Amino acid sequence: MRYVLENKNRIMFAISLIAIGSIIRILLHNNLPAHPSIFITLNGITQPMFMFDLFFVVAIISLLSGILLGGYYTFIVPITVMIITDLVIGNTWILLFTWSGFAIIGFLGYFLKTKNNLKMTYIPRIFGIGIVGILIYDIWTNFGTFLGGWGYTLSWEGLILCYTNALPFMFWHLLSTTIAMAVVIVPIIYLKEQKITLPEFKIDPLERKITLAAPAILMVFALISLLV
Amino acid sequence: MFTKNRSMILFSLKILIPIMVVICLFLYGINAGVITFEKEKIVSGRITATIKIDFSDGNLYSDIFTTDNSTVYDFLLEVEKKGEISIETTYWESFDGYTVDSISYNGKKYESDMSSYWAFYVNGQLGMEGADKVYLNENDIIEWKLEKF
Repeated sequence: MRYVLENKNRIMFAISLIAIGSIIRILLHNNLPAHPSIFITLNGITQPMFMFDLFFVVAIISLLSGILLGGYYTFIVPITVMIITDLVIGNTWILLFTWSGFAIIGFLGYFLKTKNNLKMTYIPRIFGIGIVGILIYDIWTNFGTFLGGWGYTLSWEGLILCYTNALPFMFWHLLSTTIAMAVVIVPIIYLKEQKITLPEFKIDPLERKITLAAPAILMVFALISLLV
Repeated sequence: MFTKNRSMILFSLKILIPIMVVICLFLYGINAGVITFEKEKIVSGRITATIKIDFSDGNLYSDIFTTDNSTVYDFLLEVEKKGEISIETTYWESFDGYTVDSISYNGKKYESDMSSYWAFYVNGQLGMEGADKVYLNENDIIEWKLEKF
């Protein structure tokens, strides 16, 4: 109870982020437009260049939870959004891979905060780290798809085919999340520099260690889930 | 003053250069034919292929068909026209393709649900597009399987 009273601003903001992410993901998941008429041919496979999904919504929520809240909320907020929306939308056995992927993105947001990189002069670095997070997410989740035996032979050719088939989603993730970062994250950093933003939250050493360990633990659970 | 201008220029370059690289790669892809704005239309004529359906409970169906406009979906419709099976499908606008929701065979309905789904393979390779988008070649082997998640 004491924790709740001391951290009520932090908790309220976390709840707001969870609500916004969940509502947008649930409302839009069945209302995505058809892919645009741009096709790419790689590795002998022709497929749409962009396949739409709502990755960018949860990715921005993950980054914000790391940047603005930090600590436990870095992974609690994105995973809660995924739990709530997966209960409504549904998910597959790969859910631990996607959840741990968003925890990694949240951790990168927290990393930017702890290294004091949240300044307008560091905008290119922030975008760079955001893009790295997206690539890590896609490489990790598609590696899970490959290992899970979802139609891919466990060989080098199967791995290449898996990542080739994932390219339309990766391109969309990069495009949509970069635009979302420009629209959401950059103004927040600007407001932070103008001292018009949320107060800094105190994070104790144990919370910091758990925040560092959480994405790694989730990744291990994801790999174990393939064996079960 | 000079230092401030230099910082501004470096900052602008750090943003503009990646954007220019992406645009150049995109234009190069269009020029090289890797990126196109219209999917190549394939007119395959009459194709003979084998279609197999594995219902995952020991029931197997297999036959050879010859048909026009030969996509994987066309062959499944041929089996339905013959009266061997009955299918239910969903069209997904976001994927611009069909998924098979159920195949009924010998009075039993085999449905996709939270634990299983209908997938198709062409010559052993998992189909990653809608069945109506994958065109076949002569003597291809299509396998429909009720896969478990």
